[in-house]
Amino acid sequence: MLALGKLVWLNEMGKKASEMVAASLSGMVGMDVTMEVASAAIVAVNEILNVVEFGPEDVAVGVYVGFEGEIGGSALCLYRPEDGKAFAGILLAGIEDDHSSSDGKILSDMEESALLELSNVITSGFIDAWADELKLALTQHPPALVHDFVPAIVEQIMTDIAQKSAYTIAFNTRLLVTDMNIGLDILVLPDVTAIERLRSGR
Amino acid sequence: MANIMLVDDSKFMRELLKKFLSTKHTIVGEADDGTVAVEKYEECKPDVVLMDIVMPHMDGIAATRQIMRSHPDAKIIMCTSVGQEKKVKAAIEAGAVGYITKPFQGPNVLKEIESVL
Repeated sequence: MLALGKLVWLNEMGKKASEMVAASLSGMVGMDVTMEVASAAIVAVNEILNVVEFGPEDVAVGVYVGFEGEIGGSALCLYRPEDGKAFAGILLAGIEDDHSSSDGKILSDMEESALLELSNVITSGFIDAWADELKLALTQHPPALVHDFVPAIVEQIMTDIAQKSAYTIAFNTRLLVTDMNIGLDILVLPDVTAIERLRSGR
Repeated sequence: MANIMLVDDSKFMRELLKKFLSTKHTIVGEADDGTVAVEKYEECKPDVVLMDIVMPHMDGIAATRQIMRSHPDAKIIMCTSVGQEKKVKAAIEAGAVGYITKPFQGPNVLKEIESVL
């Protein structure tokens, strides 16, 4: 595990992924989008809550995207509800939203759908960065959205990944769109053991 | 002007595609998974189908295969995400005539449709 922790490429990968995501999002929203990775860290799965920019009492919108291939795992985007709503609003410019919601949630069904696609683009960037770096073919599953307290959201993904690895990789990022400053946490939870094995020549 | 059918499990993506296409083409049908797409194709007989690859129940590749079996001249364009090259290859083998990569940009979508008409 320590070998992976020393790797400089973790930050380089975050940079590469963020550039890829920013280019994709700029095309998607028709505005200049900048993505900054404020920090990247390898953390024990049971300490994830200490590295995300949310408190245990905070409610968030989480979008999970599973992936499989030579490395399996999950990626999770965590948004404050107001940030998620703001971003969905940008994506929905010029698109009719009847603001229907199945159970009185903060986000309408259409806003949720937009946020799912946004998260799909973001996580694709990070998952592809792994795939490029390690020369792997990874396949993503459809994204799933959940609106809950942060510990509940994270616990769900922790349960899945803890079966494969005791560690995960966390990126604190900011998305800058025109005069808006929208923050989100991205957790990429690959099978770290498999990554170490691949990087050491299999 | 062509008759287009949109197949994507994302309501947002279908609406986004409608926004791009509405001035030049007619949307004659929509489906949110592959099973519905196969049924709708029979009803709508579109000139072109824009088909997402990753969908619940029946994915876009299986739906393409089924449609092509009964309509070998169907024109199906796959909608993919970055990193789905293997799936694109499988979709082309299933009979798709082209593909566009998400996130979409209007001019690229229109250009791809024109290229298969």
